[in-house]
Amino acid sequence: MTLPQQIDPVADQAGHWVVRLASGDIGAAELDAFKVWLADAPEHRAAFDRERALWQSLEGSKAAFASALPVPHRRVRKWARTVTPRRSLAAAAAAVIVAFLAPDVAVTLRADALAGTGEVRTITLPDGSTAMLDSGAAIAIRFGSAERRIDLLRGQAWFEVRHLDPRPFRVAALSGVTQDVGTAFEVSRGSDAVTIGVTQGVVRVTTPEGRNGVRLSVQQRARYAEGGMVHRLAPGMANSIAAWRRGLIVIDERPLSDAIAEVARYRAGPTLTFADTSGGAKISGVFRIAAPDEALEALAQMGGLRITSLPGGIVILRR
Amino acid sequence: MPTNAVALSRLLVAERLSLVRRLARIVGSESLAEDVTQSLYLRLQRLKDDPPILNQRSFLFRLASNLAVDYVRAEQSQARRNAEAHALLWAEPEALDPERTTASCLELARVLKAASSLPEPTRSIFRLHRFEGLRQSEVAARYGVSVTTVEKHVRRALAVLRKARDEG
Repeated sequence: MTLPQQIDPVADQAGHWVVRLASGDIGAAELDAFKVWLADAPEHRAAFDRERALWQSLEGSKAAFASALPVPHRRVRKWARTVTPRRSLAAAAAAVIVAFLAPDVAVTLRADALAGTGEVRTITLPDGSTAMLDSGAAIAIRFGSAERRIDLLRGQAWFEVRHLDPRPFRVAALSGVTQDVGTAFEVSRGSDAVTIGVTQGVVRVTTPEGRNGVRLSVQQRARYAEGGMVHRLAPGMANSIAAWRRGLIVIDERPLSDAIAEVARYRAGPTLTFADTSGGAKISGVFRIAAPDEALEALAQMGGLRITSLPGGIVILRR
Repeated sequence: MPTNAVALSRLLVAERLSLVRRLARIVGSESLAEDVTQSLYLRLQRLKDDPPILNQRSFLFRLASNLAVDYVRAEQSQARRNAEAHALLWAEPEALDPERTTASCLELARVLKAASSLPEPTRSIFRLHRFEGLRQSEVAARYGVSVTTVEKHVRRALAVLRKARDEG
């Protein structure tokens, strides 16, 4: 028998330095601080040698760390995570939002979390996972002992799932369920169909009609209709899946009317088009959710439309 | 009128391919050039409308090459530091006496046993970092988490391994 382990601060410091030296990201000042620490006392040197030996001794033993868990292949773009969505519109638009959501009382009553129009909301779920709700989205949080379930009642939401919790994480929308196997994904519910896009990791999408469901990994997308099977869609650019969570509206080669509808979702007031927009060129662009009116102006310019703004946030687009 | 940020973002989307190709010549690979393009994108979002940018295309390309050059400089000094850190971490330790070598065989067996019981995602993160040569920041980018989170997992894994080593 050996004596019970003492907490040894020098060993902890030595362990810390091993981690930092191996990190690949050590800073100049940090490296200097390490050298000072190392030279400071003989026991520092001894402790460092011991922890360094542990790090070295692992060489060639990769197999001991093997696992069945899939590792993300693609790099997740850093900027995708550093832009925080703007929420400044929320307060100004609140009065109008109520009016426009009112018909949807059923959804509003069932929802545990709602995002207002023009608002992207970030919610920390009880297990520490993150849900981001796009403009107008609503979810009900149904966490139980067997599963972490989210009901997507309306709109689109993006989830980043914490894996320390053993309960499966599932998002139910219409008749289907998307279960997290990896890390982060978007579920988007239209009136009659649901679209799923994966930004990291792997998910499995099942409906009662399909037996095994469809497995989606990074950048892959799928769609199902109420009561229908799951169909794969062409993969999306990782950047454009759930671009709204970065505060951006990404429009990629879409007809003008679609582009206007997309931007209109972020406006508190009604957006009316009194013009035939069919037959025009496809439109691409990136706009800020925080400034949907600027986006509309840009779209109008591209499509040769004039804009009339009326009180109450009403915008009319016409030739 | 669209603002500087919106107009330049749109230009970036349109010119993306030629930008990435040009930046790849500076930073050495398309994938790194994509990274620089992303940070360029971020930078554009912060542009003020005053003064108005007249020649937007040349502004965009100049800003892009500046960012790429900054990136290469930062990478070079990071590479120098990493080489030094690597030397410190991997320098030959003092010669071991045979008794200690036997002891460390037993220690290693305990350590590897503990390794296989590490929880996920700690185990995968540690494997990527220690055995597949990814920097902590690269692992973080893959998992879409912060570098701090990755470091926490690496520390946690090493703490478990240390405990196993010392428990004999």
